Amino acid sequence: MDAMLVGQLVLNGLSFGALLFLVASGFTLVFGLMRISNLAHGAFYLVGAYVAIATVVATGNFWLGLIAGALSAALVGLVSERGLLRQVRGKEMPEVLVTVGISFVIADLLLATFGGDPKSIGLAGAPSGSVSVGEFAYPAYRLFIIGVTVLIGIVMMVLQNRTTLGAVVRAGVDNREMTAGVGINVDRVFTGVFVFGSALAGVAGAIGAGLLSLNPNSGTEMLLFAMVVVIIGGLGSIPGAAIGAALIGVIDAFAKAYLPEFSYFTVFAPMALVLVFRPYGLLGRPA
Amino acid sequence: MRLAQRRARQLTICAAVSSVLLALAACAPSESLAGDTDPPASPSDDGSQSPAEPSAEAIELKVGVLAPMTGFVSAIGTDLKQGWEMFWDEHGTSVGAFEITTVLEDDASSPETALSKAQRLVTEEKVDVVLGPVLANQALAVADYLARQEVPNLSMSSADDVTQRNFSPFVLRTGAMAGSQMTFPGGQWAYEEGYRTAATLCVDYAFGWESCGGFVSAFVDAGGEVTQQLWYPGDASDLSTYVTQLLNADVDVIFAGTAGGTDSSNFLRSAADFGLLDKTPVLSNCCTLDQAIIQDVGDISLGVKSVSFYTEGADRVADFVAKFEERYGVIPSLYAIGAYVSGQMLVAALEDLDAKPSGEDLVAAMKGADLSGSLWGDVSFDEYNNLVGPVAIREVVAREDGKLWNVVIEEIPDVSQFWTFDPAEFLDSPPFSTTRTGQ
Amino acid sequence: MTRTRRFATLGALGAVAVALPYVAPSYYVSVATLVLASAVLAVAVNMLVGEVELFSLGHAGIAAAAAYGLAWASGQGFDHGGQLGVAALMTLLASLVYALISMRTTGVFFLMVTLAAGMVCFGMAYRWSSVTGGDNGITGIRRPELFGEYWQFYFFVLLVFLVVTFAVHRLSVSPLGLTLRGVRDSQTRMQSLGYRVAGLKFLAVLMSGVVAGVAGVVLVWHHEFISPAFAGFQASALALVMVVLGGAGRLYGPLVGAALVVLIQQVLSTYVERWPTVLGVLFVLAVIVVQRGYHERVREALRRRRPTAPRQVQVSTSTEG
Repeated sequence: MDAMLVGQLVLNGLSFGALLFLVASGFTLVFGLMRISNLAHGAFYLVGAYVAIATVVATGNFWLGLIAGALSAALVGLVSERGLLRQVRGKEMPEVLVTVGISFVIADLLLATFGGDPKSIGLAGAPSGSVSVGEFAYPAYRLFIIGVTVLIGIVMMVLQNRTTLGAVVRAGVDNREMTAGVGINVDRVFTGVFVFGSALAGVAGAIGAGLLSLNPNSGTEMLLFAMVVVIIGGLGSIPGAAIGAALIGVIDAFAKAYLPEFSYFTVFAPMALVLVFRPYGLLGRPA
Repeated sequence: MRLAQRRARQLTICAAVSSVLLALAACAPSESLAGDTDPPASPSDDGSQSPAEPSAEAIELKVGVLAPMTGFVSAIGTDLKQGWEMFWDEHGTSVGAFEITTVLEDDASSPETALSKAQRLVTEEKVDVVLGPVLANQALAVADYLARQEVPNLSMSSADDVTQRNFSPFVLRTGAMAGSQMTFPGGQWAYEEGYRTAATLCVDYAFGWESCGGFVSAFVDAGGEVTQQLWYPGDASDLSTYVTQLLNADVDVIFAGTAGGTDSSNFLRSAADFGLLDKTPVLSNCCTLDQAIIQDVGDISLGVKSVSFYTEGADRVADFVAKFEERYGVIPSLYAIGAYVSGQMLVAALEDLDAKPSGEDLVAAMKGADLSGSLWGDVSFDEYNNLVGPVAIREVVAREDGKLWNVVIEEIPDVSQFWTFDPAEFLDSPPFSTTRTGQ
Repeated sequence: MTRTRRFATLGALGAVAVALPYVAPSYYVSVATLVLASAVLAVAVNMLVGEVELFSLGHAGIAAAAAYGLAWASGQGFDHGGQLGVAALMTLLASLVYALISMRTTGVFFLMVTLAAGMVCFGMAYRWSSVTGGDNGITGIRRPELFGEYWQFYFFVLLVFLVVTFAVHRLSVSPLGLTLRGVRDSQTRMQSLGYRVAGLKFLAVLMSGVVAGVAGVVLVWHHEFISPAFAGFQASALALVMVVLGGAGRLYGPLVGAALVVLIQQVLSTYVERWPTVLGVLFVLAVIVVQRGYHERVREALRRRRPTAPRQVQVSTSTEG
């Protein structure tokens, strides 16, 4: 096995994994706190991606696109949570079903607005070209993704563990009733977390659109990957999502190279196994 | 005891219902409702059921169009529709003794919907001929159905078997070429360029197998050697792994056969990012550098070569492309011109007829018509109802207004779906796949 | 609903169903066949929802396994008996796997496990192209000549649907049904009573899988074609949508839901391009309305306007229509 090939495969896996982490972390936060399995998360990713592309096409600025993507996804999340999910709050199944319906609608409306053509960001303003270390060359954009994701991950960990806001969220995850009993407006915290999770999906979409081309099915794809990552890593755990994402990314990269017929299997089988033997994931905790 | 009575009653009801159903299954509903078993618009009688009689008024010929207006290839559906509409707007819907009407149905990029809509077109709309669908899985299923209904199908799909192992006298491939047919010339050209070793990357399903199969067969037949073949799953979002492997392969040329969706853009983008496009010459299939992809990836496609039967920058189609651009604001894709040409061919056949033809007769008329003015160039139909015509090696360049398109580097005429191989032997071997790759 | 009213409704429905091929063009009969076939899959999903409150997002995978089994066998030249045999084998296999991996999970986890299982089925259908034809699928599958004509097939599917519905009804009024609903109501209580909950769920998923297999056979005979989309996420999601839209857990739910979804997909799509949005909106509304009990309020309001005999108090816990 050629060392350079292996090195590139590992980096490929990590960069894809970084993207998965961005998507999965939003999903896991929402699940951990609100016990909502947001199956519309993939649709939020799509919103972020399409809006980012449209913004970059209009302004030529990648960073503006990133911000626009995050904001639009956050907005859609806000509307979904306050308008629709609020109606079925607390009931696990109806919440999930509502998110399924929302994802249908969003995917279709995006198709109507942007058309079915494959799309991607022209990388205007984003890092491009490749970085070389001796003979080993690697695309800069992918390294950028890894870098940005690590940064966001650190920020999230700091927020969660070092700030009052983080404490409130952690308290809510641990024990919803007690938190409410202490006088904290749990509803507002919920909405906040949901919106934040959606924004994360939007950022992931914007970044992902520069990496992988986009089509209306990309949302479901990302959602499925996110679910796998979250289940393996543990629902509600950000470090778990990081580990899960890195793992799945690398497994996927190697599987595609050496076992292409089994690519789906290699990603979903671990998820099924974890669900059966360790349902709370590697780093998760029961409610 | 009540329970026993209820059980008994339930059983009686069941028995009654079942026997009624069984009895009914023996009684057929009337012919007019059955529709598809004997469409009034059909052959054997002399069209005396149609309200209008020839020579006094025009005979209506209904064309059903199956296009993916929604779903993951909806962009193709739009192109198809635009190409078709533009043709009739230009030409007018009167053709000799006929008046052409179109019924467009959305097949949602799904084979089940395509089949349902095909059924609707045949039994309810009573169409005389069907154009489309595009995707291979849809096309094979629909062609199968239409052939059984004896309704001609003008195929827009590149699936080899439509005019090979699944050949039918009712299916005529007018709007496309077979998948392997259009890549054979690529293999020959690569050898003539001096390349002796090649690696291939193709999408892992029939279209990819056929694309690679064509290139590899011709390349190996000419004397070349294919040292590595990679296959990627059609819904893969990340092709970097494959590109990385290609980067490490030590070959003269790389052939890439992608499906024409996001995988094509992903490939080009990854290839550019990793420097593959600079390191090794790359030849791709039609769809990797179709207009939709070029518009998506932009400048990275400059200079990349591909092989296809349609080149938007060719002189032959200059007029058509200009008019299309003026009307719709975009350079036409493969599907737009495929629909347009199908219209041309239909007209060429109908001009000489004065009574509504049966399914087989219409196909025969289309095969025998004068095709010299067609946008595909100098084409004819072989005995399997497939086009024999020119295929070009193309390169992406920028034109004066800055937009990118393909121009012709070299044109190979009279390319048959069997290349230089014997048709009987070709059909005897299994279709192209990951095990039968053309080597 | 009073018993007479119920029989009257059923009778009317029955008359319409039986008369359909004689009054409607073949296209509509074909749509009705599709509705009934889809309803069979919805019955499978509904079974789990109603009896054990387990929502599956992967049942299309089992149906597809059966369908691919039949399709492959047909390509190999097996006769119809052989094809059905292979389909039955595949159904059993798939149901066993689903049951094994899901029997220890509930709620959202069950949803995700079944989703994963469905995606694995899809992935196999897509990737194992030498056997499944990959994306191209398999064409050339033919129904048995016994009901080869479109109207004969329609009656056949109608019969299958009735039989399956009847079987599920019998299950729900049986002691096993009662036990399953006990599991639904309180898993811990059942466990403390000595029931093996995992084993019961295993059984439930297995039985539901068998029905899904039947649906798969009927569907592949209807289309005379199969492709990986049969096993895809959208197919499974739509089955769940049918169940919820029609009335989760209700006996008539699958039929109503299937009719709604198929009509929107097939018929509405001819006139309305944004039909998935329509479907999505309807679905969300249905979930919210049912959850908030609005439908009960509407029913109450309607009832107050009608000075009929007092409602019969029914203490039955079976799956009622």
